[in-house]
Amino acid sequence: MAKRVLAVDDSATMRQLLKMTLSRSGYEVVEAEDGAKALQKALAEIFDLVLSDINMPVMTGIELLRSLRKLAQYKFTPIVLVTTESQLEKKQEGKAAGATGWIVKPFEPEQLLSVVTKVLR
Amino acid sequence: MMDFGDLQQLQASFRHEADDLLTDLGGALLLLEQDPHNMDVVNRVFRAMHTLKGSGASAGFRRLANFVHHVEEVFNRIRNQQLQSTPELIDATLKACDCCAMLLELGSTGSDTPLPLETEVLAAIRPFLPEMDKAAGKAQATKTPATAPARYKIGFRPNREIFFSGTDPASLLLEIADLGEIEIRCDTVDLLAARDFDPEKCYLGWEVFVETMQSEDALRAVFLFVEDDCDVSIEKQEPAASARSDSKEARFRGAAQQGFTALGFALDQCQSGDEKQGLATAHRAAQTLISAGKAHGHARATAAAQEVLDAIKAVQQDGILDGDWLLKVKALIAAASQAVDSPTTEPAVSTSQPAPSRPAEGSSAPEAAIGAAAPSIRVDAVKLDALMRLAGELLVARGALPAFAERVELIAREESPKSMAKEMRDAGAKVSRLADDLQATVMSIRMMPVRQVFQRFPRLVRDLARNLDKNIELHVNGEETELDKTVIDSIGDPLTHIIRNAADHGIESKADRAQKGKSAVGRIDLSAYTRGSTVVIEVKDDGKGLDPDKLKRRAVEKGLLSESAVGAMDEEAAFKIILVAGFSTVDKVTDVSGRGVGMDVVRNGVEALHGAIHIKSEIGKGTRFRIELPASLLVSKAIRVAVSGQEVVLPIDTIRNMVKIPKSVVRTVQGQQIAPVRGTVFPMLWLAHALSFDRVEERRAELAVAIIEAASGPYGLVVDHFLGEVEIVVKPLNGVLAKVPEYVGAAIMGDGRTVLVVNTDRLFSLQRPPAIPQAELAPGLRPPIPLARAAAAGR
Amino acid sequence: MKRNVLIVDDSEFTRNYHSYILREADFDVVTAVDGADALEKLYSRSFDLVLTDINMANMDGYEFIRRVRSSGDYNDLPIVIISTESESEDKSRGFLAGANFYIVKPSDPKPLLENIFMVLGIEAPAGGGS
Repeated sequence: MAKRVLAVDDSATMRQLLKMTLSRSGYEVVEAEDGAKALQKALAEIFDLVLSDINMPVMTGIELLRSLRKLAQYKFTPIVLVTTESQLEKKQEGKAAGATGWIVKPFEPEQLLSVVTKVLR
Repeated sequence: MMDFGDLQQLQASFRHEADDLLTDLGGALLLLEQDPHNMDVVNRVFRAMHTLKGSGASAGFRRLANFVHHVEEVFNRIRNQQLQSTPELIDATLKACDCCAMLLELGSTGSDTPLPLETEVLAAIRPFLPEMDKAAGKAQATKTPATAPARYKIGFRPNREIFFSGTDPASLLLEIADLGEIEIRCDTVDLLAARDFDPEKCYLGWEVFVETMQSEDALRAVFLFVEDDCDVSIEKQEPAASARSDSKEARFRGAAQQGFTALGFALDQCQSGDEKQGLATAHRAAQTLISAGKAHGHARATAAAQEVLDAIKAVQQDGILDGDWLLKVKALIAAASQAVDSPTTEPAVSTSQPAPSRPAEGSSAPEAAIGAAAPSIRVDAVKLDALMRLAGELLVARGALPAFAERVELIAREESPKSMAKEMRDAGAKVSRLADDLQATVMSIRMMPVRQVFQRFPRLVRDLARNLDKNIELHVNGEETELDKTVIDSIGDPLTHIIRNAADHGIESKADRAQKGKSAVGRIDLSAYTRGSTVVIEVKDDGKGLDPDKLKRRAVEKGLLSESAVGAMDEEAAFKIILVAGFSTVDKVTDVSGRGVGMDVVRNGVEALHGAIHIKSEIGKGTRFRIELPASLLVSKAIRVAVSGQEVVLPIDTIRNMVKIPKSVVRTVQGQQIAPVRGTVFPMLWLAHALSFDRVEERRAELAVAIIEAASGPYGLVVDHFLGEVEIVVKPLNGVLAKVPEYVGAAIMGDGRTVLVVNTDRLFSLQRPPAIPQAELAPGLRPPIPLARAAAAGR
Repeated sequence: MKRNVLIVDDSEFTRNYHSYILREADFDVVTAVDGADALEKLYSRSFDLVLTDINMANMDGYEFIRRVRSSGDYNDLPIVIISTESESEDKSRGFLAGANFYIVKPSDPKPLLENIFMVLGIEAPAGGGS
């Protein structure tokens, strides 16, 4: 069965890029445009991987991360932050909140895929 | 992974999103002007910019992303309450929005010259960004700032599989670079020693010295997500070490470091095939290490360096430089590096493991980080080639149809087969049209603007001018002229040589120009244009020009040509002497154009592309190189000829004309047969002889002659009959035949037969050099001496 | 015995400056104005060290070093480049041409001498230099 990925970003372009790249490689991608919507979807169905932007309205990626890690079903799910921030605090904050990894935008589709393959291995 | 369609779709989607964002941004900015302290609005502005930047970069709008980055920084500062929003700032930011809209229009095309508005906005926001040029103090607000920069030594040896984790080691190094002043040393030894190099693996390790105001934690954070499976060591360097940087100790280390650096270069050189030179360099580097060790009274370092030297000497004598040796030397070098570090500080961080399991880099990681979005279409070369072959063969196949129809007509003259033949002809015509269309389409994909090659030259000329201390302007014309990809890929080197030559030997020094009353600025014109199916590239300089007599003299002095040979040369032939290997017109050797090697690269390169070079020059006025290239290389026209009962084809592009001459006009002058054709005397070559066919038709009173325009000069090629013109697809020969220089390849004919294609360009020069002095031939003859020599020298 | 050094530089000032420093440190100094000049002077006597600039009009430093090395007789002669270029690429070219050492110009007398002694493998005389 295809692995299911939740792609969270407030930018439609980014969501499209994530979906385009991943669905071509056989992943099933569900989009969410902010942390709150992502959380709703994550509660309603189960995902193998969450890719999330940090800076989003309503609920940020870090908040989403913290909320997800509190849920039994997302305790061990890989959650990768996809963001333009390369600031140290943000990174540390992300890691502390339970992020599995980090991808800096812009990235090559190949880069994204290799991260996804790795964390889902 | 992402094809052109995807990218277009993504860009369209981004344009749409960006329009919305810019509209929102405009509204938010006006709100902010009313209510400068409203953090919600500030955040809204920041987020919009953040998205513009991130998504823009991802969709290929890098220029837009870079521009927004600066403005975003300003709002980041406002967000962190380091800055207050002011009406001026709002003003500038609104203009920035306009500018974004323009950059959005430009997309990934357009020149790199900043738009006037872009410059204006950046200038306007600069005061709000005290550190716009230096990203040094990014996180100053939250970190406890150190009072003085500290120096750290960071050892970073990524796991070999690091690329699979999606991490680009280069991006981590760049992150460190953002934190302060850095110095990077790359350990390539594992890469050099790798026996089965896997480009997907990382064989490199780095040592980074960084001087930063940031804390050690900040440095460590860079490696946050990789530290689990990479070797990362961060050491604060003795504060004294930097203070003592002027000490003798430091000098020793510096000297030793040079030894190691030189060893690195040397091993690179060994690896790239120049073992002898590489080992000589390594030998010297090891000696430098030993000397430094001795001078510093450092016995351990001296001994360790001696071992390195011994290993180098051993291989210099026995000459087996293999992976094992590299591994061994690598270990010795590492040990030496440790020894050098030994007395005062801790042992070296990382270089100590001989480490087949560990480190290092793979492909071109350092550049991989941000590849600029190329404005051109990327097409998989393999697919393209397959498509081309198909198109070519389809074109050939259609040639069979009319012949078939003819045969049907001949065999049965009844009504029904006749109409069948007609149908067949129609079908043939249709296939033909299709093939033409297909070919045209494919060709258009392969065609690329010469801009791709030309764009490197302004920089080249600028650098040359600086190195040579001359004033030179390069004027480029016709960059949009299109050429086949193969030609584009190969024409760079020859052009580089011509341009270097023009800058170095053509354009005079400042003083000479002044003295001759020429304008102070030398000028090189590089232009391209299409003429029929030919593309012409010209390099023209207004320098001192070529002196044919001097060229001839030099050629004779250097033993490249005989006195009598140069005597018969016309002016252009004399100019072309500079294209002969081993020739140099200057007495002094300059660093720029080397020692006369180089210009023969031009001839070889152009010949390989089936092109021609013409040189015009006037003393004191300048020189013009004109390269004529076939715009495409796919299907070529050829003439079928019969010779000794066999059929071969002659490429049409070398044939000046085809004539019949009475055999009686052929005369033999000292072993060379010559004949006048339309007023000019040409040397004659019997194709049958040249191809070593036994049977030569001697009885004929009239000879069929193709006048061939070879690079070495024109000649007449005598064949038995001309059989007509065909379109052929030339395939290179394989195996034994590949080594036969008389043929360039095989052509597949319409009826499926394979016929050999004669290398008319070289055929004449492949024959023994004529025994007669060229001077005895009629004027207008360009003797093929240089090429004949080359052929004799064993090509 | 005094050590012989050949200083190659097209700047008169630099020649004088380096000559002064090295004479003070008890070297015998011969100077040359470019690579070609240096090649001639090199054959005139035996040298313990060559200190050469890179950017010179007639024959540049790289070519000069290449020629010296290609003769085969001077494989062990230490050649030190002293150049304003500090890029790794320049150093690489220098080493591959056959230089032993690379000093970035301008250099103060003390480090210059220390580096030179380092190349010669002899301990710098205490307090030597200016």
